[in-house]
Amino acid sequence: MSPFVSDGKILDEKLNIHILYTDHQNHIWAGTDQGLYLWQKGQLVKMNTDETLQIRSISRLGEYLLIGTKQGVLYSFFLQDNSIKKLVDLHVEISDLFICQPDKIAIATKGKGIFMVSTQAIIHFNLSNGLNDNFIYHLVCDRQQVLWSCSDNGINRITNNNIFSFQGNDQLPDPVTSAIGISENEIFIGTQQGDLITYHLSTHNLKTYPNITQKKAQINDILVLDHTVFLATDSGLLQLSKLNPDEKLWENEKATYSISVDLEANIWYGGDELLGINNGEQLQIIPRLGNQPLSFVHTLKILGSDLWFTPDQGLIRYNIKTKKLDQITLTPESELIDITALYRDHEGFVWAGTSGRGLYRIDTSSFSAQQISIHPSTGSSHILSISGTDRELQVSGLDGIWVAPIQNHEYPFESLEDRYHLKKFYVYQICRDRLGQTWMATDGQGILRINDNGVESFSKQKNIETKVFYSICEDGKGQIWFNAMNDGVYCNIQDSLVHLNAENGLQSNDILSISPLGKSYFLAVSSKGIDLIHTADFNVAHYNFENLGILKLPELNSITVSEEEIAYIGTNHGIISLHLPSYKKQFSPSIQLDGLSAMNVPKNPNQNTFPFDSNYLEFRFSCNSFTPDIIYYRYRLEGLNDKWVQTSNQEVIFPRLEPGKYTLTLQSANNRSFNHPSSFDYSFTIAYPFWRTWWFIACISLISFSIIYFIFRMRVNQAGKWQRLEKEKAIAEFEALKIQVNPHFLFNSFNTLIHVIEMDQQKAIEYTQKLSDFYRSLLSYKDKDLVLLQEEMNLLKNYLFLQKMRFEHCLQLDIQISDEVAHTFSIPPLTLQLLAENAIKHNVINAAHPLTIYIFIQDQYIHIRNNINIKLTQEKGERIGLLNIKNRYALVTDKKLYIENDHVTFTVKLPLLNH
Amino acid sequence: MFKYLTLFYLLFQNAPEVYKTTNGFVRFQSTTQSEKINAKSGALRAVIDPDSRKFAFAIKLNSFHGFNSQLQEEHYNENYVESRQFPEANFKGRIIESIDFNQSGIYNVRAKGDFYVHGVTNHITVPAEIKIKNLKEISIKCILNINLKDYGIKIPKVVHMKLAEIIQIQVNATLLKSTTQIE
Repeated sequence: MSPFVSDGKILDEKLNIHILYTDHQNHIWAGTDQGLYLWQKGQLVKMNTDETLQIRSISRLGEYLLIGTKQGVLYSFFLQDNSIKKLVDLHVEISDLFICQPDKIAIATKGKGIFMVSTQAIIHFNLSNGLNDNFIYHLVCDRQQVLWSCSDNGINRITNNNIFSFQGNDQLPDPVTSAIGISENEIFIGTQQGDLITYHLSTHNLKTYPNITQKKAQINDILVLDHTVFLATDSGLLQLSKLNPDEKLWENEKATYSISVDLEANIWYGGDELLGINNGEQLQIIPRLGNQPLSFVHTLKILGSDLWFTPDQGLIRYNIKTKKLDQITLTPESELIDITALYRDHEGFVWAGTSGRGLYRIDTSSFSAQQISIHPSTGSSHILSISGTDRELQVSGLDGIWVAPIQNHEYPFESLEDRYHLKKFYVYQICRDRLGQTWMATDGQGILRINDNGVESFSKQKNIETKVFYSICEDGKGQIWFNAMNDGVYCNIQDSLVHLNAENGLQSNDILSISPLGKSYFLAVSSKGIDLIHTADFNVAHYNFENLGILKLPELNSITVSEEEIAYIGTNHGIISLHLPSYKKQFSPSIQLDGLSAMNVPKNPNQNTFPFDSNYLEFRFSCNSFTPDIIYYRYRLEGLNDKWVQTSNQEVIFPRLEPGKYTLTLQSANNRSFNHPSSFDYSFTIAYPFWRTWWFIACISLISFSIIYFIFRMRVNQAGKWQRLEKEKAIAEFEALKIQVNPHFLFNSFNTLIHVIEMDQQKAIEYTQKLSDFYRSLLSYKDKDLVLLQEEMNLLKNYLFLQKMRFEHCLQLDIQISDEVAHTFSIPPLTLQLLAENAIKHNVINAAHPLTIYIFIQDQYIHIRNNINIKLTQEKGERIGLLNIKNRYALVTDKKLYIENDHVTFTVKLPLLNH
Repeated sequence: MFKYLTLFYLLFQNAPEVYKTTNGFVRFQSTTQSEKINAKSGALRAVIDPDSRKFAFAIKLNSFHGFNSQLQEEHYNENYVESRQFPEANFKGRIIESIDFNQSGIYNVRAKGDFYVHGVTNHITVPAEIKIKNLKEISIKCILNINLKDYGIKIPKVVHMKLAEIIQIQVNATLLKSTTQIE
């Protein structure tokens, strides 16, 4: 009887399941008459396709699922976006799809034979080229990658060269072979009328088990495992022993069409309105052996192919292969006797220790028992454990440990404590390791080790506080394991000590029995269940009794493992056997991301950049583990918070993520400490809004710096301008001052004055008045930047009158400026005067060479022109004067002034300035 | 003269010998709590080739009578089987077990083939009983249950108390040996 059966109740809708398929990622797909379904979060979820497909075959190829329907259409279903595409219509039901090699697909049809499609060619196998029948039910592949098919007329073995067949009424009871299964070297064939045939590939031995379904029910599917074979038939699901198919182990009575095994070694089966899961071959409850019902089984041991165990009384030897049962009574009277220890020595005698009646030695050939005494004291009649070497026997009892050399079948026991001068103590279990050391799990003294150096307390050396240890044994790698009361298990590997308890992997701290399983595994049994520990990396897989519906309680130190690596555990109501299937590939739940949505809109997980306003992210995840076990989840978002957050919801939401780079790590494990978790990473980026991107910020910074720089420069320039204006003003003042005290001008003026006084008294008065006027206006003008043209004209006229007195008719003036213009426009003061002075200074003025100064307006410019008569001796200071005028003009206007010198005339053009 | 006769016989020896009939009996029954329908036809055409074990049965759907009312027969022809569009129903296939047609007796065999009605073909396997009376005469008895849904025959809700989902068809035919080819 297999526990963990979940039948029918797990199906909500009324589905007709025709095919169940497990892919390499442990996803369970169901092909039904109502479409394609996927097992997700405890139920079958429909994959929406436009039309309803009546599916008969499924196979996965990379990221696609190939689907064959009853109508004969082959579809490809793309897993990433759930889109479906019709590939080809064969018009006859596609009964099986098999991918034998990565580049070869075999399509079996009911009516057109088999198509082998590869990248190179399409080969069609049918009646015409050797196939027995075109109506094919199933395809399987053997270890040599050779395809076998079963059809309406027997089976075929198909290679490229030939087709081998056996068929027909001479070899098979029913030619309609509706199911086929394959093991290492044997083929199992099921027929329409319910017969099972086995064909051995090496010996070619054919064996028939007619009418195995007992109701002539058609066998639809066959699944061959390590020790058992499952048949899905029209009258139910059968589990048979592989070696002995007559032996029916279990049965379920609903019509089943398909069976599949998942990566965790669970069996899935489906039919009309039926879906079931059970744990397959892994755990079995054995309520009886032979005709012996089992109740309390607390001591059991496998010796060779015999299982020795103690039921309520006596000792039973059960041969697993022949199923023969022998019972031996150790006491002549039918006294109740409790056997607590079993051991086989190197000579082949089986030793049984009892509680109350001492030690017995059993001869296995004659199956007779002889009581052997240890010591006259009565305490030695209560035995706890027996062990030994090829030379000596070690027995631990309530009064200590007794050892005896094995010689001539005499067993002179002596006390071990006396040999090593120790106190007496209880030893629950003694074990001998491959190095020849004796280990003892004691009550009160911890773990003791005896080797050539003597006795030492191993647990004290390793600073383990616990003093009570129940069991001790050695695993396939030579590591020593021991379990303590309420403290889990310890494993000693060379110098280091590994401690496993309920926090970091075990289901409970209270371990009742321990045992190695094969070379790579170790079992720890508690009342909660069985923990399967991998001895290399200490990854723990759980078999939880409660979830599996097992109500039995294991006994203390009640476990034994057979040569075929099946563990037998004694309980209060029978024996539980545990087999670790060779096809079990997944031991701990593996986590996967189911979906992701941003702002409540589902997104494809391939997308890893989200815009800044799409920052409400929701992640949904789950484990594709169907073994009932408590699964713990946790997540960590690097970039937000580097702490792990545990959750029992299968989703995590981040409401407002700032722009930046993140990595979300999801983990699942079957223990609270997350030892050996399954991890999934997802890196993504929330993009910065454009106003926060580096290039935008750089541009803006550049622009603002430039603006600030230009503003700064402008102000500096303006300041400079003001400075220059002031400077020019100072220079003009200076010039004016210079003019004021120009000795030449005064000297000439006084000379002229004397001359005029001699000539005309009235003119002399006028001359002197004009001279003083000139000097007075000079004083008032020196502070102004601009004066009305009229005022400058007055000044100029005064100046020229004075000069004309001196030069008389040799100095001619031609001034043509209208009053209107003179009152509208302005001019920097002393400009015209300075220019006139320049003209007089630099030119010869005499009767032969008269000087004419023309002043007129043309094109918005004042022209001051004079004819040139270059004086040979130059007076100083002309350059400064013209430059000063230029600069003063530059400070008040953008208009340029022009100087033209064609060596005949000298013209200065000054722009007219508005008032 | 005898030479011609022997030739004649030899010719006949090479011609395939089949068993056939054109008036086999077919009855279909629908049983519900409110109504029982029992329609019959005697116009089944059947042929069986003993060598290849192939068989072919065909019947015209409008040859059924014995309905509970004229209206029911009309509905049967017009709305359910739509005999105007799909006048014929047939079952063609092979008998799985090989039986010796020369040995008289009753054999329980399986007939496996394509059953076509109302435009839909389904592959079915039907248990049948072949009784070999003598070298010239065999009789076939078989019962098949067909699910109307599998053949696209829809039952409106109004009527579903009166018409069953699964119809039982009984075939009872006597076939005689003849030497014409199989169609």
